[in-house]
Amino acid sequence: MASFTKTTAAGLLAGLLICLASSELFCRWAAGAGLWYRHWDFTGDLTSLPEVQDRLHSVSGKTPRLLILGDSVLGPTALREHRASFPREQSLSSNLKNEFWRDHWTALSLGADGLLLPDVEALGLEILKDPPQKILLILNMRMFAPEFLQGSKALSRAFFREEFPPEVSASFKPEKPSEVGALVENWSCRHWVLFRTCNLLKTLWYFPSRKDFFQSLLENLGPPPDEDLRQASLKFKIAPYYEYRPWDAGSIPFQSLDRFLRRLSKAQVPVQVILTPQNLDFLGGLLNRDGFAQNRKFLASFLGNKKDRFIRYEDWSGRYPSRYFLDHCHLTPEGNAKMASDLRVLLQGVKP
Amino acid sequence: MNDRRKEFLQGVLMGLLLFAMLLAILLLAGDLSDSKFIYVDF
Repeated sequence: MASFTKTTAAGLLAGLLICLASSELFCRWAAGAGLWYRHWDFTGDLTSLPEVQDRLHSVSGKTPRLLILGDSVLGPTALREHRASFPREQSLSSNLKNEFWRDHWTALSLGADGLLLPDVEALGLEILKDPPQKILLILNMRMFAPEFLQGSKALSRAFFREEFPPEVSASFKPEKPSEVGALVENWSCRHWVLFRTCNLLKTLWYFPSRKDFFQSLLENLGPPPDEDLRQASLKFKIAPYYEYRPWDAGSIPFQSLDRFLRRLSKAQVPVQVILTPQNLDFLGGLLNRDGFAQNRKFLASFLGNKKDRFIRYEDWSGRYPSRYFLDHCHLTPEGNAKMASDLRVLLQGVKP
Repeated sequence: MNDRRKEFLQGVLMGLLLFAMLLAILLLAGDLSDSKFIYVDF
């Protein structure tokens, strides 16, 4: 057996360092050139703030461009859970990109599952560094739910905290201080591009998470999940999002929305805000229809009162019949194609 | 001289293997307790 000499150690170190340096250089080039974003739609996940900056940088030279903001209605998670074929290609985000490509617009989605309005505000601060020609913001009922009105839960991604001034950031302070592992991960994402590239690419196979990936594999071996049970459990989960509570302009979501729109209006970036379609048949008794109507009216007047030529709002919550839905708000592949086409008409003023 | 070169190349090969292991960890490791499914996890 060969012995491990000083020369072998030098070779090992040289080999390792060459690989690390060349992979780092490649990843830095790929991030700068937007290589990954050209090939895949990563809607659903935002892995770190530097990755968000890479994503925005990938379209910075393209004009005209549209940025799309919203939660899971944009991405492939619900389609994936319903075993749709090619969920990434059939998501609302992919359909929008294709629709706008026809008019020679570059569309970039910053949509992510569970995105909340303070996250949108933080994204707005990044967007303003190189403003696009248009922004589409898709609102959902969950964004105004009591569960996410205060504390650390009001922000879906903790890494956005650093975007805010200290007085705003303090309102999202987690109950427990960050663990060493999280701090190391944060540091690595910022300074080690190979690390953040791997974190991004990992979402292509471990989607929506690593646990979910293995669970899906196991489910394929056994009988499919009981659809009634799944619907009942989903209703149980979403019931608090639709529970009636009058929306308040002083709450964190509305304050974030207000600051986000003010900043973009000041930068003269047109923003189209949409309240996403809701499946009223699915919601049935969960929904207090009078309360729902009052809150929608409140949102319309909150946005309408701005009387700002750069901000336009449309309430699409009752726009589509239930056949276009997978559940309470996520659309089928046909629904996504229809909504993308309708949004193109709305934003570009083109005929369908 | 040839022996030293062979030892060095063996070291480089070990370095490549070590890097491949690091890359596999970076691409495959993750938190198994974290579920992001929209639907309730049974």
